[in-house]
Amino acid sequence: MTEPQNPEMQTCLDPATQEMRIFCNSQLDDYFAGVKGELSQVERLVGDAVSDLVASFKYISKLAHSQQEISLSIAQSAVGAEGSSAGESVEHLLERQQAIINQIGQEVDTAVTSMQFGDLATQLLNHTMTRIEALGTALQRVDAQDVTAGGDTVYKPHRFHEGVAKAVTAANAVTREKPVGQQGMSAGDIDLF
Amino acid sequence: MAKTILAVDDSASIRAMVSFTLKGAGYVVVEAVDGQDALDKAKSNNDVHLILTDLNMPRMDGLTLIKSLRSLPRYRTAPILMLTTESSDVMKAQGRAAGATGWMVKPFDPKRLLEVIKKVLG
Repeated sequence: MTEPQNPEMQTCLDPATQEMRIFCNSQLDDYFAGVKGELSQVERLVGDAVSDLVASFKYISKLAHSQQEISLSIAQSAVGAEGSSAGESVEHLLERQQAIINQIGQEVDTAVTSMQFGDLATQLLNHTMTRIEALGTALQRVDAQDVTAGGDTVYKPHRFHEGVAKAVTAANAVTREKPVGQQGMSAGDIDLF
Repeated sequence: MAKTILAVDDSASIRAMVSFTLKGAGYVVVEAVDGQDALDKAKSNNDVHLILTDLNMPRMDGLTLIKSLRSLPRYRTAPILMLTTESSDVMKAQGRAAGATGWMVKPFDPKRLLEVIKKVLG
């Protein structure tokens, strides 16, 4: 935690106030560290989930291809053993199997689109962490006290509010526009230049 | 002969999705984890036909990568597609000015991605 930038101000603060200030900064540090830790945990959980999903959909795809190969083998065997009438029946079966395979393919495509949530969530979380850090840093600079001509330290509530407002403005200034605009997981726009 | 695509993204999950989609369609895929890695691989690989890159990446971002590639004779006219979460018109304009061929906003639909790639590869 950084201490007051203005050395004159630091010397004007009475020991009790100075102690409280250090305590508050420490509290702020702990609070934001906790929030950051929780967000990092979400990031790890999302990452694990995505890894598992990637493995799953690859397996589904492999199964679909295996099914196609088996279907072809069955068709060839049936035609060879029972003649043309049985072959027609197997052809129909094959068409149905092909339809299923196509459906699996579409499902896999949908899964591929959905599973990109991990990247979007990670970028949003990183952005949120940056914002929290920026606000935390700015809030630590807020000083709600004033020193009278007699040398007394006086708490000025208006200065506190003004300081917080400035802190928010400062935090917004250092955190650029949100990197993810999408509100859902439908596919994004495509522009060819 | 299968065409080679350089897929650039710092997200391992996105690289896995892109590779899976492209390899399934018969393309050869070279993966890069950021712009600098992509630039190194693009320079050392003579068979890259298209570059598909993210925007926000550590070490070197997508816009810098495009500008660097466009300065190389080999990649002056090669198709370079952005695949990013960024969707603002300002960012798209910057991508266009840098030399991007197209801009795709994540999440991508595999079928549409393959259609676009087929189109720009001609």
